[in-house]
Amino acid sequence: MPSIFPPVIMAAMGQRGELYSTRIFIDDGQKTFFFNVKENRYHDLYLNIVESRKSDRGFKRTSLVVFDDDIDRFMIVLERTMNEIRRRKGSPEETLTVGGGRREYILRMPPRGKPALQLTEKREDATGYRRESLIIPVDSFDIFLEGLGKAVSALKNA
Amino acid sequence: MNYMDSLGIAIDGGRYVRIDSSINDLYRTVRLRTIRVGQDSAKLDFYVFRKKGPVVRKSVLLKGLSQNGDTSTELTLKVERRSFAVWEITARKPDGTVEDIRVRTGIGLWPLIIAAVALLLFGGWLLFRLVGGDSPVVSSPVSTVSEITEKIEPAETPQLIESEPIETPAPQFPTQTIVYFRPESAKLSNAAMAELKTLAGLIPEGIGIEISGHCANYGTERGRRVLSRVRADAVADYLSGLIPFSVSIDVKGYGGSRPLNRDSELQDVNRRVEINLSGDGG
Repeated sequence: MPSIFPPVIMAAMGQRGELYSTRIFIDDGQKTFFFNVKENRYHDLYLNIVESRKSDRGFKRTSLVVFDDDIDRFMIVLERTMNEIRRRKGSPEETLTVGGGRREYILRMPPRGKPALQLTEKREDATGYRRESLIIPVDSFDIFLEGLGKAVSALKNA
Repeated sequence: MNYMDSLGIAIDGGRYVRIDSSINDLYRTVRLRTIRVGQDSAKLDFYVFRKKGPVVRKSVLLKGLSQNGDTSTELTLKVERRSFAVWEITARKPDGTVEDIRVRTGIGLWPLIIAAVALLLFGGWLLFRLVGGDSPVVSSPVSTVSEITEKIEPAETPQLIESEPIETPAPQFPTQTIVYFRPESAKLSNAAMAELKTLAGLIPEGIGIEISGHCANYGTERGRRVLSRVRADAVADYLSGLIPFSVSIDVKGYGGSRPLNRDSELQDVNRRVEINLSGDGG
């Protein structure tokens, strides 16, 4: 699949194979979200959301993946859940199952701590599941959606 | 190694509460199974499951639980390993008084035999060093302490070397927690949920979590694998909802391939989910 980006730009940002990459900083720079558009070896395009945070033992990364076929449904569920959390409307919880049941996204507000969205991807592998959970604080929803929106546009145009 | 649990019980008499709280090490599992509740008292039944040998049962009666006519109370239980063979269970009552129960877990003769052999080997090695050590056969046998000490060359005066104290930080979180399930069930019990709530408060950020499900050796291989995975996922789902930061969790279902006990009468210990924490995740 041809890329919308010239080879020079792709080379500059493609150290990890990204077709597009953008990032946002939250929590006074303690936490960074990367939104990477990538292509796998089967030429499937996907969005990789990576949270990188500083800890005593270096940087910790947590990442989840959304394929381009599922991105529209994912965005609808994400924005709906974020709005419910903003309005403090109960304890919202949404589940989106894709990929024939092999991949599931769980969006909910954690019962403890500051109001936030806990975004979990549950993906099946040969021996079990892998669960990756990101926490997006409610006061960072706008900047998160802004970065995510740019990446989704790049994904759709790629 | 210690384990704490808080149990809320209603002391209105005649009730029988089934509990599944346990602590285990390589050799045995100490398990609180039942609480029989009276008008003003509670009887706690502990069982000690060993890899070999009979199950040991230990009961303790706690009296004076009712405070000012209240019909409910809370007990705080703490299990500590006092020595290799003795575990101590402490129950703290609401009025602050404490009941101690010592459980002799009876670990068998093998550790004693191994210790005796090691002691003999060490004694032999020490004697060999004292008499010179050039030959395993002592050419000139010595019979008194003075003769032995005469043969010892004066040792160099040991020199103190100042060095930084070696710090081996112990993990501030439980590296393994086990919750148990009823037969053919993947539903979390109240005790399991309470245990997971406690655990969630102790998990530090940036930790690696592996949750592995297991089941008893009944049914088909495929059924066991599915049940163990569903059990592990139930724990992962509940636990991840309690953790207020980003986390990665590996969830595995091992079926009946990793039993803690192969005795058909002690399959309860195999109906479990293990939560292992390691410091290199994140």
